[in-house]
Amino acid sequence: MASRKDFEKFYNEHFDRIYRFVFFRCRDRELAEDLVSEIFLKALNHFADFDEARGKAAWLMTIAKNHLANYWRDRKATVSLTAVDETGEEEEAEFLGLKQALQAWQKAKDTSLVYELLGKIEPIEAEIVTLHYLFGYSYLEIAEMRGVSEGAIKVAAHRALKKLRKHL
Amino acid sequence: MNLLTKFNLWREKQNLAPRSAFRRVLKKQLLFAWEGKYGVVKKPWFVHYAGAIATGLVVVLTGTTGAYAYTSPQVTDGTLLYPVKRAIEKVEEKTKTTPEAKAAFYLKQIDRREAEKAVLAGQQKRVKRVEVEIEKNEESLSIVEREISTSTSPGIKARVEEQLKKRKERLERRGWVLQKQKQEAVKSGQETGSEDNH
Repeated sequence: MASRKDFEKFYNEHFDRIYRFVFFRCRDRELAEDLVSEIFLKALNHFADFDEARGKAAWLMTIAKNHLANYWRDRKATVSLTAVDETGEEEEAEFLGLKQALQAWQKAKDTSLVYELLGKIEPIEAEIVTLHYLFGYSYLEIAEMRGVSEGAIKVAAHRALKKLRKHL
Repeated sequence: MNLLTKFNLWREKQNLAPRSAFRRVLKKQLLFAWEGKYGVVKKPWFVHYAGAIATGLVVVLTGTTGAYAYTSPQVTDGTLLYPVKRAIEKVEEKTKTTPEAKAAFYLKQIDRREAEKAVLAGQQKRVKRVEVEIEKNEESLSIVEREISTSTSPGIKARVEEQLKKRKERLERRGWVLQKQKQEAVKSGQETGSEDNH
């Protein structure tokens, strides 16, 4: 049976990272604070149901992504969540959200190369780099989120950094 | 990854950081919500003092064990607590600064070793080692005797003189025994030599 102390420890461990993720996606501090509060409240209500096999970071990230998706859907976002890229294929909403966020951040901070460069690499690689370097998740946690091995994540991260270096 | 990229990523990470005030307030609210949902778990009163109780028990146990080890003549060389006893005695020795205090200490040590010797003699083991310890203390006593002032209490002076007299007698006896053994060795050597000559 999970205790108050367990939840407190869970909060201390994950709060910063989930906040960064949410703020990165919505780009508004007040909105991010509201959304993060709601996400953690959902986590609190289902803390006892949490699946130990999956990992806490992956579980909380799932809650956060679903909550953000519900928020955008309820707001009736002006941009549809699926779009067609240059090759004519549909991109996943998840990665489109990331792409939009990168573009928006780049416009807002046009002196920073980071967001421009992240926009130039593969979406999966950009997500790994943002999760690890911007939000602070370990490769193991990212692997649990994506359901792949830690080794695969490390290889993808290494490839992404190589591409980033090339573009600099 | 080069330094510039690293720095830029780190800087963006800092820009995405939450406000500390928000972190604190949300934590309070969530823990309050937790108590509302699951109730407050009351711990028995002694759990709050568990650390202090445990520390107290350790202190009391250490103290009583040390006191027993130090005072009991049953704690002899070869028993579990003997190193504890010797360690306490070493510390005690360091606290004796004047020749009189040192003399009283060495006399006490000799008494304690004698008591241990009696216990060990009954068990028929390790008597020799205790005797060596007694002689060491007597040697220290003889060194300190020269420094004892004339104003020292007559009781201590008399005891010191008596102990050193006993030591002298024992050494003389041992010297006499050794001399006798030497003479006998020389005699038997001479007899063997003359036999060989024949």
